Amino acid sequence: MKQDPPTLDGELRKLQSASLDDAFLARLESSAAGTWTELTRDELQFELFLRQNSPAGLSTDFLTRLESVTRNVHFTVNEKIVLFPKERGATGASKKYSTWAAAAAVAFIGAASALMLPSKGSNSQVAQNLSTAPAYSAAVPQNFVPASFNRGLSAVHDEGIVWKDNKQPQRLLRFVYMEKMTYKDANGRIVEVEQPKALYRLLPENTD
Amino acid sequence: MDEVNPMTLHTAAPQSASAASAWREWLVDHGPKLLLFARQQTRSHEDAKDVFQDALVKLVDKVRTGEFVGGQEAWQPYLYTAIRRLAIDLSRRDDRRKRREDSVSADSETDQYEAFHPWFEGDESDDETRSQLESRLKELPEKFSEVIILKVWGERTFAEIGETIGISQNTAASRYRYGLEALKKSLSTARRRGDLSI
Repeated sequence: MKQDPPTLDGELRKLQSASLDDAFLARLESSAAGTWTELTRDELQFELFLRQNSPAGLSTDFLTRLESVTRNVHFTVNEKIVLFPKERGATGASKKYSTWAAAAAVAFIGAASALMLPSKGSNSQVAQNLSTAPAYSAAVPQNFVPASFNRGLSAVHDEGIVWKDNKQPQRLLRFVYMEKMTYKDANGRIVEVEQPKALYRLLPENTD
Repeated sequence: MDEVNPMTLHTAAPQSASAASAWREWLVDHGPKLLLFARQQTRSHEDAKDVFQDALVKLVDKVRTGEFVGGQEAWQPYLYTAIRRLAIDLSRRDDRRKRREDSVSADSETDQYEAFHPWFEGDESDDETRSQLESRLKELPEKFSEVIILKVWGERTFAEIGETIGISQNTAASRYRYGLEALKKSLSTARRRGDLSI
């Protein structure tokens, strides 16, 4: 049996594409609203059940094999991260610093960051921070006055993407400075103070 | 016996020793979940170890030469991606080799060997549950199980999983949901049959 092309075309036009099922519609709606990646309570509960089964640990020989790969390779620790010592039952003597010292360091870094980072809602750029020189007078003898200041930007590092509470990805940039302040007294004597400094900036990252 | 001053010991210890110990700690912390992912991606425990080691070699080379972009927090995403790529390469090589070999006896030996190297451990679940979970995960389509392993045990976000696998975060979430549902159903069937007491 043979149909001529115009008739077949008409038959095809009568056909309609299948409608979307409810589940798929809900998925599309949720994706459009940006909530598809949020899990339901049931899903989270099942996830918790699964997590009760921990991945098997590495065998000693395999761990040794991996360790040999890392031999003589510097272990990078982020400058902004202070390592808290792990609890070890019988090896207290090898402890190099205490939890309190680590906590104090975190508090200090937090306070320093609060001073360096611009306040929320401010659009001020890094360059604006450069216009004001910090005071190092505590380290300088009396009768010396500031003569010059150089921020000394030496490097900018891309530290990768971080996710903030509002789910907005941000690119973390680290600006490394070696600030140099010159002081002079009435006799023309010069005192130079150098201070290394790192400043972190978060920039909103575009997502598709 | 001479008294040893611990301070002297600490000062004399080479920097590489502390780096080695830091690496070891990092591997003890993160190694099990990376190996679990490698096992899901490969056909045997030995392949998984090889792939994991090769991925670590790549990372370490980049860290050593200063080519690695990002800090320590970027190591895991890098390793997951590297493990996946290396496993795909290995699988292609294996497929070519298998066409040339009769693998029936080799497969049965592999199964016996795998039984001695379970995927999971832990005090909070019994052996039967762990064994059933491993079996059901292996039965799932790979595209579902890899997302489940990265999310549940790798503790990756959907966005990170998307980057590792090369899909969008919404697709990662879809695969996770379907996989979770299938796994739940499969485990419920096992429970009804009496294979599992959850």
